[in-house]
Amino acid sequence: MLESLQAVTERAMSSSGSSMGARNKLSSGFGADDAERALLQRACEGDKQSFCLLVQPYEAVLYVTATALTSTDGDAEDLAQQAVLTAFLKLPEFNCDNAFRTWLIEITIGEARHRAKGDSVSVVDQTRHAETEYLPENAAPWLNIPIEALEGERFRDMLRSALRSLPANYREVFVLRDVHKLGVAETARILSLSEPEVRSRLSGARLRMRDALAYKYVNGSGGNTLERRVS
Amino acid sequence: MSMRCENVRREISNYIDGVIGAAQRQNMDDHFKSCKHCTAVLEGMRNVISLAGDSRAHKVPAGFSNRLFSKLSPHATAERSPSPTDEIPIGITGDSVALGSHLIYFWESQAEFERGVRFVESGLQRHEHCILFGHDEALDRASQVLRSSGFSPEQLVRNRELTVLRRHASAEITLSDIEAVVEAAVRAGSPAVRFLGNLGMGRSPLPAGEDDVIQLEERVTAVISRFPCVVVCMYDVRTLPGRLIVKGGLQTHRLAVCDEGLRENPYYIPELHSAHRIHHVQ
Repeated sequence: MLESLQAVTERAMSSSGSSMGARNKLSSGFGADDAERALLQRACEGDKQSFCLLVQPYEAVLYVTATALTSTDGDAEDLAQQAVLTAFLKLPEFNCDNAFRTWLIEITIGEARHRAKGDSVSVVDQTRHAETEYLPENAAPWLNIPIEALEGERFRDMLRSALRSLPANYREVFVLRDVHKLGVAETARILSLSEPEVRSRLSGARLRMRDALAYKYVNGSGGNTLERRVS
Repeated sequence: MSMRCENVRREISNYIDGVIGAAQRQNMDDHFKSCKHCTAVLEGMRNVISLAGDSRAHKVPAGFSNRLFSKLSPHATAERSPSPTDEIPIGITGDSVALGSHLIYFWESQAEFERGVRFVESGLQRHEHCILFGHDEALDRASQVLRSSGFSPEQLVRNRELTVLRRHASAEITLSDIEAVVEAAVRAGSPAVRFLGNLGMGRSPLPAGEDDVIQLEERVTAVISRFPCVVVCMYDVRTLPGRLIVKGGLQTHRLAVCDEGLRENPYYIPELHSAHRIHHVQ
């Protein structure tokens, strides 16, 4: 009986729900699923098609990580592509007991740091911010930004700009903890920090993000808009 | 003694994460009751955390997926023909066709069937990923033709140069399979993908019906327009009813492979495809 890529593809689809639906999930874990292990096994042997199928459900994870760690969309794409290549080359080092999603995030962080060091592209801003205390600029009553704001391109742009306005070392912590929901211990391991350092940077990052997004969400006749709030 | 605002704000992040002691939490709760400024910081931070962690906040832009594997391609194609071209030889006749073409080939005799399989043989020689698709009998028969031409289908499948795709009774499932395989092959660096489809009625597994076949043909055209792919559909005229030959065969393929060469098909109806696409976008 002929084996085929179809069998592999089908397993990949059934294990991640529908292939299309799974692509945009940020929170799907890898797990010890047999189908994914089979893909992993083939990919480790150098099969690029299996590797592509393995990575596809995590495209959104790669996108958001790379976007947060770079200054421009072009750099973000380049970083994500480099991370995919590095992941492919390092795949035999991947330990099946760990989450593949976390491993991809870790590879992307490593690539971003590597680039910042080499300064080959204007990727991550070089200012590793001094660990000074940050206190909120704006303590006016907070007007809730509803989750529906995320449906609009404009607010998503604002969120991306806010993230990119953070010093690089704060960005890393915020992305791992609040975007990807990794635990403090895992974040500390990936970033080679102590847990108190993670908590302290996260606090600074969250306060800065809050100030950067102190907008008033207005539901007006011309559609939903966001206005800068006056302190 | 109430806490100072400065000390409260320093701990709000830890308060949200639940990593402070019970006594301190109590002090902060007391403080929030009387301090609207610190409450505003707490509410804003909670709001921002929930927004940033929502998958809708990070919409993957169009085309990102297709470019994501681009750095892998040189590794995949290093040993292959240097530049993919916009046209590929079909192998059945001496003609070449543009990528994205969808061709019809009617066959009756064993010799005609073997000739159709040359489309795949030509692709395998050029290191283009090939897909054999159809009912069980056609797949076995095409595999035998490949063997008699000196290919090892089993080895080709193991090397990911060939995919043997069995049709499902439902066009919907079949189509998502086709799309996934073509996409994976292209991402892995194949310069072009060849798809040899086989259609015969009364063969296992059966299509759900004639409309199902027509739907599949129309949608295959839409799928391949997005990939560097050429499709040849082999119609077994011994078993197919006339209506299907007209509706599924003649009206949905722009080009026909004839004995004397490739021909523009005068029975092709382009509107069928555009109407169908609009329907699916909605």
